[in-house]
Amino acid sequence: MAKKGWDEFEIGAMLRTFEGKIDDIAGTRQEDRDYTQNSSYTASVSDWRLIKPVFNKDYCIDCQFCWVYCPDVSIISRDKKLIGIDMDHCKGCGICVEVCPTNPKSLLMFPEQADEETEIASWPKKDEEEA
Amino acid sequence: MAFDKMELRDIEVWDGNFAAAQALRQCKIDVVAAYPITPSTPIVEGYAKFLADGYIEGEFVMVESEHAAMSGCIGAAAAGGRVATATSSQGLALMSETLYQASGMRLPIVLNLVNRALASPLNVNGDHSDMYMVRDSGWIQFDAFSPQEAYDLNLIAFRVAEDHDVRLPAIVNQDGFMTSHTAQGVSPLSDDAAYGFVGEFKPMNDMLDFEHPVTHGVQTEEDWHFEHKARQHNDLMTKVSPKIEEVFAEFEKLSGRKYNQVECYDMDDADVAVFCLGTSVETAREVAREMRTKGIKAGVVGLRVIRPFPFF
Repeated sequence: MAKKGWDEFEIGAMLRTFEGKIDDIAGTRQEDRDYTQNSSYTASVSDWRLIKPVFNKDYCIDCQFCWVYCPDVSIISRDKKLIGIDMDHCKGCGICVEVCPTNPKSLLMFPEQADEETEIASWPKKDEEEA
Repeated sequence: MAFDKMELRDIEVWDGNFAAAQALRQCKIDVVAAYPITPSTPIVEGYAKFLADGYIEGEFVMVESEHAAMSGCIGAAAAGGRVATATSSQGLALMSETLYQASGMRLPIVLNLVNRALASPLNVNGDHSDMYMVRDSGWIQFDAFSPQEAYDLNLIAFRVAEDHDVRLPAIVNQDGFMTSHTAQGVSPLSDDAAYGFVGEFKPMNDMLDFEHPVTHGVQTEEDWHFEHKARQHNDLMTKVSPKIEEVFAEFEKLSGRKYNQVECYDMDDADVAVFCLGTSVETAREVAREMRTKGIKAGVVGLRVIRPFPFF
C-alpha cells in the first residue's frame, strides 16, 4: 500500500471497505470482493483465540445452525453446505459447538495447538443415553 | 407528499429561539435529535410543531439525554443527512464527549447553543461558560448578538459546515433569555430564498451509499492519531476563515446584511474599547455612544466568529 502524508488521506475517521465501487455486494462471495488493506477482512485476529473449533464433516447434516449463530460470520457455507471455518476471524467462542444438533457433534472445541487430523481420528462416539 | 411552505412577512416579531427554529425549518433538515433544556427548549419545540403541522419532511428524534441527542445527530450525519440540534449549559456538558466525536469524524452538524451559565450555583440565565467549555472541541463557533443574527447565522452555519473542504460541525451561539426569549423585529428570507442560499445537502462518504461502503469512527492508535488531528486542526485553521468570508459576502448580496468575523463599532478613532460577546455588544454600543457625547472616544468590538479565532 502506498504511504500517504498527513495532509493527503481522506478526512474524517473513516475507512473504505472496498477498492472502488461494488455493484452486487450480496451476490459477490467474500473471496471475490476487492477488499482494501484497511478492511477487517484482510486483517487476521486469530491470535485472540485460546481454543478453536474443529469441524468433522462425517456427522454434519448441513442444518446451518452454526452459520446462523456465529457472531463473527466465520462459518463458511457454500451452496448450503458447511465447508469450513474462517480461522483468521474465529474468536473461539464455541457458540457453533453449542448449537450443533448432531450426535456426536460435528464441531468440537480443542486447545489452539491441537492437531486437527488427530482429533478427528479420535472423535467421540454417539452418546447412546442422549439418543 | 407535498410539504407546505410558510408565507412570512418582511418583518416578523420573533425571539431568538423562534428565529433559529424558523431557520432550521427553511433548511429542510433530515434529522433533528434533541433533548429539552432551558433556555434552548423552544427551538426544538418550535421545530417539532412545524413538523406536526406539516411544514417539515425530516425526522424528529426524541432521545433520553443530550448525550444521546448528539449521538443521534452523529449517526444521522454519518449516514448522510443534514442534521441539527439545540442545547444549553448542562446539556452541552453532557454532550461534550460526543462533540469531539462529531468534529473528529468531520460531520457538519449545526448545534444551536443558547448560552446559559454552568452550575453551580444553578442559574438558567446567561454567562458564556458553556460556549468557552467547548472552544477547543474542534467545532466552528458563531456568535449572534440578536434574534436576527441567530436566524442569519443558522443559514450561514450550514453553508460553511457542509462545504466539502470544511466538513466541520458548527455551533451558533445566542444569549439565553436576553436573545432567546426577547422578541424583536426579524427580517427573514422567503422559504425559497433561504433554501436556495443553503442549497441541497451534498453527502460525503455517507454510510447509506451501498456501492461505496465505509466505516465511520474508526480506531487509530499512535500510528495515525496525530496525522488525523493535525489534518483536522489544519483544516479548521486554514480553510474555515476564507469560507466564512465567502459565505458572509454571498449572504450580504442576498439579504443586504453584512457580517464580519470581528465586528467593530466606532473603532476608527477610539481611545478606549469594550471587547465583548452576545447581547453585551448592543448595550456597550449604546454606552459608547453616550460616552462620546461626554468627550470620551469609546468604541466596541464584538466577536462574531469565536472558533477559529479570527487571525489576519
